[in-house]
Amino acid sequence: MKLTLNSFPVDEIKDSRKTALDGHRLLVNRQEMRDLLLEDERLISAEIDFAHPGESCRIINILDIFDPRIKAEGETFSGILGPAKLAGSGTTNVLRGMSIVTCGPLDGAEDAFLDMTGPCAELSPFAGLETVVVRLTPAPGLDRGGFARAAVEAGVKASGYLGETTRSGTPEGSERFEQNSLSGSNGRDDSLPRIAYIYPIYSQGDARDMLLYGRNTRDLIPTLIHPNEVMDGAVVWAGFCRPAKNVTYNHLNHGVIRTLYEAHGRSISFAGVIVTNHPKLFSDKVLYAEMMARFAADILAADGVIVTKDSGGQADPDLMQICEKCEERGVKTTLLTMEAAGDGGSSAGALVDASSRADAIVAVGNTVEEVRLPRMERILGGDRLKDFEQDPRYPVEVCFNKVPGAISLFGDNRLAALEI
Amino acid sequence: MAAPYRVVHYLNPFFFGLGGEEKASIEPTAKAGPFGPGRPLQEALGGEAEIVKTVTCGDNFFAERAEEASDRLLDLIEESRPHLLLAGPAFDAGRYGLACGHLCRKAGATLNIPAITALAPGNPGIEHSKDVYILSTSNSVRGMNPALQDMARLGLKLMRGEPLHSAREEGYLPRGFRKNFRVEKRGADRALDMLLAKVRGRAFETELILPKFDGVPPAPPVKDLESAKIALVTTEGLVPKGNPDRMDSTRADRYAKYRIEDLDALDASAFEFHHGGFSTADVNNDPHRAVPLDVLREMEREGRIGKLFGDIYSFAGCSTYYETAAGMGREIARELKGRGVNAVLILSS
Repeated sequence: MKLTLNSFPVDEIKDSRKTALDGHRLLVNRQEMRDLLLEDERLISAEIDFAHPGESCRIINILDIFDPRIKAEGETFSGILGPAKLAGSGTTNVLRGMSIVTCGPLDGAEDAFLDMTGPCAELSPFAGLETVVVRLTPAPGLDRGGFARAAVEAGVKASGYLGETTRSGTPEGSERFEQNSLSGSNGRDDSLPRIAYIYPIYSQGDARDMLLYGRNTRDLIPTLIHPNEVMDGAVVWAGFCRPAKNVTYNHLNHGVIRTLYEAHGRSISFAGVIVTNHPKLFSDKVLYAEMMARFAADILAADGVIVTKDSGGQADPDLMQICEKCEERGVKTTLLTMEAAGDGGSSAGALVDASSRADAIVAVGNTVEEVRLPRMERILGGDRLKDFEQDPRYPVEVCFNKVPGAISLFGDNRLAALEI
Repeated sequence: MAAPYRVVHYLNPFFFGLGGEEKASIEPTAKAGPFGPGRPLQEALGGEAEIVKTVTCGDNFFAERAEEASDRLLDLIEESRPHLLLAGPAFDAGRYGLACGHLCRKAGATLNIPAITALAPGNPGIEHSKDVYILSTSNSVRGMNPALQDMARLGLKLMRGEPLHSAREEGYLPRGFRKNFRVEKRGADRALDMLLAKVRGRAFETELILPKFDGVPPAPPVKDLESAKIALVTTEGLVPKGNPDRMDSTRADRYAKYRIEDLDALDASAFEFHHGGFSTADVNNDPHRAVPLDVLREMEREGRIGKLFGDIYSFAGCSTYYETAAGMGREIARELKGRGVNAVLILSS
């Protein structure tokens, strides 16, 4: 499977009568983009605004974050707007240096804070991107699940609409991704250690799970997925951003998958990716861990696996079960995890489960450490916060887990929680 | 011109230069200026800080009368209004190390100044590592110079109020807390490096050492259910409609008790669930899906169980700290035991 990702860098976004890419400037006809999104009768408004790195601007009520992209042939985000087709091959154009942030009043969503300047900008890579904010309002009477789905589709449409500007352009960079589990290291050095990746995705019910090819993943059982499918939009967030979790952008630009690809043929042979959900029942956690350990050992012939998680709490027993079952089969494991250190950052009980086999852990961040965000002049995405009874412009003390991108469950930033 | 920062240094009589074992019982005393290892320590501090006083106390005196010794030493220290207390290094000397740790801890607590000591990893004084910056030394005085350099470097940082990096980076023993830092490599790269080291059988260091959780042995079965008094405890976040007690939906740090004595059922108009970890739509429509009070009352009437306890205990079991949950559990168990409850039905989500 071969995927080419073409890069079209953007360093400025501006209003225009015609939506087009002019060098590194993205020109946007907001009216036209809005009209496209409002073809969906489940939405009664779609306000489009721009936020720029360094600007005194706070984006709230965040649902998801995308990058704009379009496939040369076929559907991007396969299975969301039309029938699902296998993703991961061909050519996909991506606008780099920018993101699309969808926002809206979805019940049950947590507050999220993305400031384009100040401490937040140091914590979150998203603050360094030119940003198109799409604020959605559901039609009266639309239920939570309906609005969540409409928001996903709006994000996908917005991504495609802006991605379309690259259709006839020339990319500035191009990356090719090719990996084939069954033929060893693609003809490269077979003496390299074979490293696989176990990829659990968030799956906790209505508007609370990831979509795989457009469908809910709460009943997903472990299966093999090609890394290119992930990088090409097979995995999309189904609802609201829980800011400490991965948004769609994180799956499209997956830290672990990119790292394994970069090392592929140099220091490792990238053996493959196993995708799973975080099942609700403990018995399923054990079963899934056994299935995945068997995939890793017997099918992918992996010497080692990196394991991530996509949730807190109940994801921890998954990590520990996967670790134990893999290690029992001789497959070495390294786990990536965020943690919730106790009062005052106390080390005790950072995770809710522990295995003595889990001796190699990368600590990507303490979610409950607080950071003070200063006053911002401009608010986008909504008019009020959900859990804070104050003007959204005012200074606010928040935990790291309220800032999308501050903690990267896929290890895509330089944060680490360490002992003091 | 006086140096901007004042430092007091603690040494035992041997290092102070007063003599060996025969001086192990001398009382707390002080002299102006640096002595013994204090002189190279002063050099390491440079012109930015001055060791204005050296205090000492016999190791035996301290070991036998630790509170008195430290109080008297603290009086001597406080007179100099120092910005920092340095103690040792004590290497593997046990009594000396304990004195250094104890004195530093009390200086931090009562004088509110930073305090640093330096001990070998096996020194019993490291029991104070939660409250004191303890730098690691070699076992013997051969490691004197690097230890003094480390003490000076960390001491200056603390006096200047500079932010510290992790314990590992700064060289002190972890105090049992976690903090976020920006490090050189991305998490995914750190993961691959760690995994490759592990696969190749090379040394690697985890970034998180997991605690060992207590196992809870199950209580013996209830002998006679027909006469048992049974309590309900739920971690599903059951609250009266509107959540009047403002119970947290995640990271609960307290539980609530709600009266169910006079209720035959949980009415959806009177109760709801406030929980951040699962979709509460189904249990809000019918609370009995989570807390089957209706069926339990039936069993009570039929005599299949003795009696339901009059209150239900409730909180949202969602990312609550382990130690907090253990504390709540102990409290609830104590209370129920005191009220003659024989069994608990724990209703979890």
